Formats: sequence, structure tokens, C-alpha cells
Amino acid sequence: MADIEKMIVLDSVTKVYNRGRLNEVTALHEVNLVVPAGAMICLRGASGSGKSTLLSIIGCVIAPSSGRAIIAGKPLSRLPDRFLTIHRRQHIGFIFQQFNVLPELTVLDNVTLPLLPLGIGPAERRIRGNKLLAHLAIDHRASFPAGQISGGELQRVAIARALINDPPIILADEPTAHLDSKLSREFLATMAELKRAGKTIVIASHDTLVTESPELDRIINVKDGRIDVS
Amino acid sequence: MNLSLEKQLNLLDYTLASLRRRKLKNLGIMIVFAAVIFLVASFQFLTASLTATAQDLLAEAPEIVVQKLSAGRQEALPLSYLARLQGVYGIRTIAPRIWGYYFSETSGANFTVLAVDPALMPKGDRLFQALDGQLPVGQGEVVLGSGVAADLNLAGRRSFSLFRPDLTLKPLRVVGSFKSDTDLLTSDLIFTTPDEARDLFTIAADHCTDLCVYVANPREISTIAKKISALLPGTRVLTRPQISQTYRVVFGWRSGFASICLLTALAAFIILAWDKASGLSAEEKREIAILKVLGWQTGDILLLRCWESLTVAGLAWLLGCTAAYLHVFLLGGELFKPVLLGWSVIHPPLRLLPTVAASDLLLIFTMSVVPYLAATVIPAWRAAIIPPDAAIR
Repeated sequence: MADIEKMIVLDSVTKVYNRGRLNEVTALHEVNLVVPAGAMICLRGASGSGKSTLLSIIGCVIAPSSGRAIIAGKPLSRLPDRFLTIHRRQHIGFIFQQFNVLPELTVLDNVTLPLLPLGIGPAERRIRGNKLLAHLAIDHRASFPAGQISGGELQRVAIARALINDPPIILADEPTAHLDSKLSREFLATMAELKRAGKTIVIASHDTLVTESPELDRIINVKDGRIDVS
Repeated sequence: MNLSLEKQLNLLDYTLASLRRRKLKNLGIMIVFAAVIFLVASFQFLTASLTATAQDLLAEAPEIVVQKLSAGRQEALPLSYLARLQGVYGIRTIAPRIWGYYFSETSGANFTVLAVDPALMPKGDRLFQALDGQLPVGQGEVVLGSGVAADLNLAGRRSFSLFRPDLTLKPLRVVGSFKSDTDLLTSDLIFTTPDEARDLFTIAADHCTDLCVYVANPREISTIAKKISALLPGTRVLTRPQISQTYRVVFGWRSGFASICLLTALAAFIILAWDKASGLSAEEKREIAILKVLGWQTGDILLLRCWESLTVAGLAWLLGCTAAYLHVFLLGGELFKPVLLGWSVIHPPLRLLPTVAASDLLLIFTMSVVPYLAATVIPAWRAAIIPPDAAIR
């Protein structure tokens, strides 16, 4: 993956929801964006500005209605869902605003969820999961149900789960929305560490703690489905 | 280990964890489903067993039975009829038979009294193999089935008496008993000589209750039966295939009627499952969306749902069929026997042959598990093909 210079390339990407219906919405208009490998950028914008849609396209969750999206060297625009999923599994790690863990599963089971369809056995899953949890200093919670741990710990579980497949791209959607300033700083420190490890990081946020972080390479303002590089 | 196999094991592992997480809901579905399958399977097993039992009983029966009718009712038949059949081509042997029911007022049981000369039966020697002791030959000698011996409470005694129609006592002496492995056929049987049976039922010496006709070629049964009907007007000529067909039609009709009622219950359950599954809860939709974003294929999610539904429905099927088997073959199908057999009291109790065909099990599986799978997997598929981004924001 190191030989890819431009990890994310969006070329005139437009996304239209409910095309042809009364409730048709154009969420993105002709968006152009290039993110080099190893960069950490922030998508800044108000709620409904289109940054989550942008993140979904970069994350191979949805395909653009028109334009080209090249993620980790692969053009995605016309890939069927099956291949989008495989590409997402191999190249993208997600961190959600709501953490989106399954509360009844243990912390370790949540972290290793992406490994199940890969056919990785329980012993290997345990080793990889525990290693990441130890790295994020949350290994003492490994056997706890995820619904019984604090918000800060949940954030670290979400980071561990995003990293379990060792993807080159990390996407975080409003990751500090439910964290206090101390935990938000810890999160940013972890992201900075990942950046130094060569990961490409895209954070969608309007939290000033994030947008003013010195670790960011760029801030991209998103407004009404259009972007403005500052 | 092979990656594909390991993946299946992983999904199965996740399925079991998922079932445990929603154990109350899944247990509830499984119990209701098992109860419906139990009802359907009980009927299926009972019908199959009754048919098999009837066929088994008929296997030892003569190919043709000739009875005399008067005003539509059976009456004793003169032995002179036998001579009129001697010339019919294809008849192997004819055995006059005396039989009837003896109602024991003390126990409320009906015994079958049967008398036929074993020497006149093609498989008469099998009678020797079926009993401990000897065949009745002398005055008052009888062989008893286990049910009769138990019912008479003989407790080691060899002698007992039965009432003739004029209420005089007929003394009898036990010279043998039928082996327990012939219970199905002999449990309620008192076997004696034709003369002793005539004496017990007060039948004239030159009469019998019917003629058992054995033929040389089973394919000629109906032809010979027609010839007998023509030769002996006023008689009823019953063939083994006719009796067999009657049993099948009676059980089939009754079972079919009941099955329709039960299948309605099964259909209602499937519709309920569909309704429940198509309205996947927000939690379930969110879980599907999370798994999709984490790199699970739509196929993986369907497989997960498949395993989940197969576990619930498969266990319900196993439980329902096992309970039905125990109900039918251990408890005699008490719940449904009145529907299939009528409401008469049968003494000694009829024991059903444990007969379960793989096709019956497969039929029940196809009617229950497969629709349930479809009812739960299709809604999951519909949820899995929706882009997951909205559900997880």
C-alpha cells in the first residue's frame, strides 16, 4: 500500500438520493478531493452539510451517483456491492459518532467482529484483539460486555475495532461528539500516533478541539454539498 | 483449517452467541413452533402407524374370506358351501373358521375367540412357533394371548370358565400361551379347536362363521372372488386388498381432514413469523448495518440469519418430532386416537407399530422448517441490501 501516493481521489463526485422522486436530494455537488497517503485531514461542516455522505463514499459504503472515486488505488464508481464490501474490509477502518458497538457482546468480541467473515479462527482473533486492546490500554476490559463500559472506553473499543484489519485508511465521523475535552485530546493523540504509523486519516467534525489540532494536515470545509479547501 | 470452513464455524459461533443474547424470544418461538410441529407430526405418525399396523395384521389374514349374510347381517355359514367351492380353479385350500368376540363383564374387555384347523392353513406351522406350550386338540383346551391371560388374572392357574350364551359355564384349560413378540396379533386372542368354539358360541356342528380361502396365485384373488360370488349368492366375499384399501381410505381421509386443520395452524405460525421478521426491530437493523460497514457481505448476514433460523426451527422440528414419536408410540397417540379410530373403547389396548418413514420426517421438515427459513431470511436480506450508512449515523 505504501506505493500509493494519493490514497483518496474524488473527481467531480455527485451524490443524489431518491433520484427522480419528489424527495430528491443532491447531497454532494461535483466534489473534487485528493488526500495523499499518510495525511490527516478534517471535514468541517454543519449538520446536513454533506460531510457524512462524503465519508460514506470515501468509506465505500455508498457509490457516487456520478463522478469518479478512487480509494486506495481502486476506482469504485461502478463496483458492485460485493466488491465494495471486500474493498472496505481491506482498506477502511470506521470510527462512528455513536461508537456503534453491540452492547451485549464483550469488548473483545466487538473488536474482532470484522475478522469473523475472513475465516480467522478464535485463537488468532483473541491474540490480535488483545494486542490492540493492550496497545490502547483497555485490555483489562476485554471480557466485559461493551454495554457496561464508559464512553471513553467505548471510544477506544471503536478505535481498536477500526484497526483490527490493519487498514490504511481510518475514517472517523464526529468521534468526539460524546467525549469530554480530556478524552477528546486522548483520541486526537491516538490519531496522531496512527498518522505517524502511516495511516491516512479523515475526521468529520465541527468540534474546535479537533479542527484546531496541530496534527491536521488540512481542513476541508463542507457546505451545502460542496467543498472549500482552506 | 480451510478458510471457508473456519468462516462457517465463526458464523455458527456468532449465531449461537446471538441466540443466547435473545434467549427468551428465541425460546418462546421454539416452544410454540415445536408444539405446532408436534401436532402435525403426531397425526402423520399415527396415520402411518395405524396403516402399518393394519397391513401387518392383514399379512397373516387369508386372501379371501367368505361370509353368509342374512338381512345384511352376518350369520353362521353351512359347511356344505365348502364342497361347492372345491371345483374353483386357483383355490389352494379352504379352512372353515369359527370366530367371535367374548365380552368379559368383570374386566370390561373384549376377547377374540378364534378356531381354525392349522392343518388346513398354508402357514399353519407358524402357529407352533408363535406359542409356548402346545396347540389345543382336546376338549376345553385353549391357548391364550398375553392380554387375555393378564385380564383374566389367572395367576398360575390353568383352568378357568367362560359363559355360553345361555349363561351356562364352559370350563377351559390353558395348554399354551402366545409369545410376547406376537402381542400385536395375539394379545386379545383365545385360540381353541373348532368344536370348542362352536360349543362356546352355540354354533351348530355343521356350521362355521366364515370360510378362509387361500389362493395359489395372489394376482388371481379378484378373479377367484368373483367366481365365489357367482357360485354362492347371498354371501359376502371379502378380499385382502379390499380390506387393506378400506383401512387406507379411512385413515387417509380422517388424517387428511385433521392435517388440513393443523396445517392451518402451521401456516398461521409462519405468517406470524414473517410478520415479526419483516418488521425487524431498530436494534436488529442497526446490528445488520454495523456488520455490513465492518465488512460483512450481504451473503454473510444471510448465512448468519439462516443458521439462526435453522437452529431455532431445526431444534423445534427435532423436539416436535421426538415428542410426537413418544406420544404416538409410548402413549398410544391418546390425544388423537379418537379422531382416527372413533370413540369406542378397545380392549385389550391396541399397540401401535413404531413406524416412521424418512419421507414423513422430510415432509414435516419441508412444511415447517423451510417456510420458517424463508419467512425470517427474506426480511433480513431486504435489510442487508439497504446501504447501511443511514442506520449507523
